[in-house]
Amino acid sequence: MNISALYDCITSISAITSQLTTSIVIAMILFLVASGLSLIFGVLGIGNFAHGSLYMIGAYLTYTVVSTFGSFWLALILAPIGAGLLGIVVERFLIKRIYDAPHLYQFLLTFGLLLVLDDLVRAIWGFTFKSVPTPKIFQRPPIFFLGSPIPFYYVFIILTGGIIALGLWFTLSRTKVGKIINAAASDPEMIEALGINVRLVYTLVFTIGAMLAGFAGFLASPIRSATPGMGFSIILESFIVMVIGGVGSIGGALIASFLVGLLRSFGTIGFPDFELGFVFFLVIVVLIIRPWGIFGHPLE
Amino acid sequence: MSEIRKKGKKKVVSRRKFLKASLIGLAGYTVGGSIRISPLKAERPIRFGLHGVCSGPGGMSGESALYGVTLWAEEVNKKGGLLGRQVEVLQRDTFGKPEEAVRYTREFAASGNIDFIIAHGSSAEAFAVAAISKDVKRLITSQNETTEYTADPKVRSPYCFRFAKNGLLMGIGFGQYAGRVSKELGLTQWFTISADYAFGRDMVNIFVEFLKKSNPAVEIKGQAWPKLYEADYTPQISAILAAKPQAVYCPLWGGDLIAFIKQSMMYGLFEKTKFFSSHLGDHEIIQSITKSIGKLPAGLYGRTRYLRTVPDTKANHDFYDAYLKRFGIHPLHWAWLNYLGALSIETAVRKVGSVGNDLVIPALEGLTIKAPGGIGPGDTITMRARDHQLIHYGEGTGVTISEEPYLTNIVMDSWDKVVEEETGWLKRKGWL
Repeated sequence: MNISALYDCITSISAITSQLTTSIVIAMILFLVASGLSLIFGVLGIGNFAHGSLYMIGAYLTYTVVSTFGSFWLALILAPIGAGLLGIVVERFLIKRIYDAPHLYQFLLTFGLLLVLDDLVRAIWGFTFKSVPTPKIFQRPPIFFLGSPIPFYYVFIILTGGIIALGLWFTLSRTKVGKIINAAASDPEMIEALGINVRLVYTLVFTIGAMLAGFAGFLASPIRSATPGMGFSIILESFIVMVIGGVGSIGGALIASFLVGLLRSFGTIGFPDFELGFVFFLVIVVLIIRPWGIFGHPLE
Repeated sequence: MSEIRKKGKKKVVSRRKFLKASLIGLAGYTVGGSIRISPLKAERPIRFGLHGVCSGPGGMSGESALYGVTLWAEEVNKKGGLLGRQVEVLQRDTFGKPEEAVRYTREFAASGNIDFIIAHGSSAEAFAVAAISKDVKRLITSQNETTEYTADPKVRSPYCFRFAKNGLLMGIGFGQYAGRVSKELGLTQWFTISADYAFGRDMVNIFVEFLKKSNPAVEIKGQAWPKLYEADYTPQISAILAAKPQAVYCPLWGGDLIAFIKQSMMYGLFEKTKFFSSHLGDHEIIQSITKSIGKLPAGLYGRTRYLRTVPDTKANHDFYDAYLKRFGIHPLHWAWLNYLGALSIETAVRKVGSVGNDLVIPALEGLTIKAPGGIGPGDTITMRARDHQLIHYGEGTGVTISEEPYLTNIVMDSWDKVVEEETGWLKRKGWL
């Protein structure tokens, strides 16, 4: 425990700014994965344990595109599309068979899929980690804001994540497609009766979730590298975000991601031995006080 | 009665006939299987079973372990094998999990066709393997068993041999060097960052002890303990920046070190603080950093993990060049250490004329051989009999520059001084 270091941090503008930007960077990548997971769970009712693997696929596709074509910006387009295409295949051939299955079967299938995708990654890309070079445009000294250094690439992550979050909110709340998705989450039989192809809506939602995860992998790869099994640790944190924020709530996922980011960045200073423990402690508190999450709804 | 249907016709086979036919078949198989057609009894190859982390951030250690032993095996096989038998190498991935390392150790020991076990995983795995080695009673070499737990005579296994750069010896040498530098440059405010497991904690404790012994003015301002194989060090880096230390000590290794340096560069950390890394001086690590961020940052302090010119001996050059030619990549220290382990076993086997572990183990104790990286008399390394620890390997500290040879102004550890401090430390612990 290092309370004096924590006190020094929160009484220093530059230190507190540094920790807040760190929190936001962690939150943005986590939000992109968790929002997709929450969307899939909220609409399809599937707790997709293999969702983190789509994040991993996004990172590896980024590595491949950058190594082959030398273009990070091409990877920005191709990595999420690749993850999305894999999402379509997974939904069409596997996930659609378990919509009405008990949760245990869903868990078993998606966990099995996680293991298969991990092995597939090892078979295709090898066992060791793959490092994606930092794009040259970001290889420059950090910018300073209120005395705190912020790497250029992290500014890119924050801005991109923010744009995606806004786009997602707009799509789901202001567009016809968004209304259909929300309706499918509430009453799929009714919208089917209205002539809307529910199966197509489900595939669309799963694909959007997969693309979000793939995009997170793309964003994370220059800082975190691509390694087999990297999806496992982020899926755990994503489930935490979903529990805290509320199933199916994009706003909840954003707030919860930020909370997790705050706990990790300030926890590292004040409680370096227990940094991760605080995150799980928050989960316990939420489950006791408000088990449906901050922005979720009680199950009927 | 059993029935066999054949295109609508029923063919009945009596039970008596069925049993008779089965017994005749079984007898024929058993007799036939025991007849050796060849007049010569072909002996199976001598097998080395490797297990350890082969994937993820620690994966490069697994790959280089396999390559190091493979290079040795190919050299031996070219010379006619070991005791007239070819040598084979197989490897299993533990994914960095101690329970998998234990499982493979038991499997290898029980299989009956693995002669020597090499546990090249992390020290967390090595510690678990050392614990069950007393159960399986097999010779096991380890290249990453670097925590101090196994220096405790109550814990130490008589079956395990550490062909590893022991954390205590590393910490003493590096702590003494850092102490001198901290006095010269007035670096009294330090921060440590290390993975949260036995080796990570040991390295920090030992380094800080000897750093403070060399320079009592040193103060540790803060410590960070990310989990092993952590992908994102952003929270820890910003914690370091918030603490504003004058120097940072970091025993992260492999992919973790590469990720940390890459992320730190984005923050400009090395312009604000001096950086001391236990695991920087591996050519492949340096190459990976250079590829990721354009160039190796200059002015970092790094230990010489394994370099072609440290020590500057023919044996070292020969190994390095042979490895580079064979695999197209520079050898990491894991490759070199595993090569040493295999070479030492070969010497012991030839000495006793057997692969029996009960005979090879005493032959390995106290063994001194000429080997790459050796700086004992005649460029030798020694497997210390007292605690099965490799000694007399070349090790020092240098400062990085952004081009070849990347590490300069290397100050080599004095083995006499390091062993003196090690002896004192072990005595204080009551382990000697």
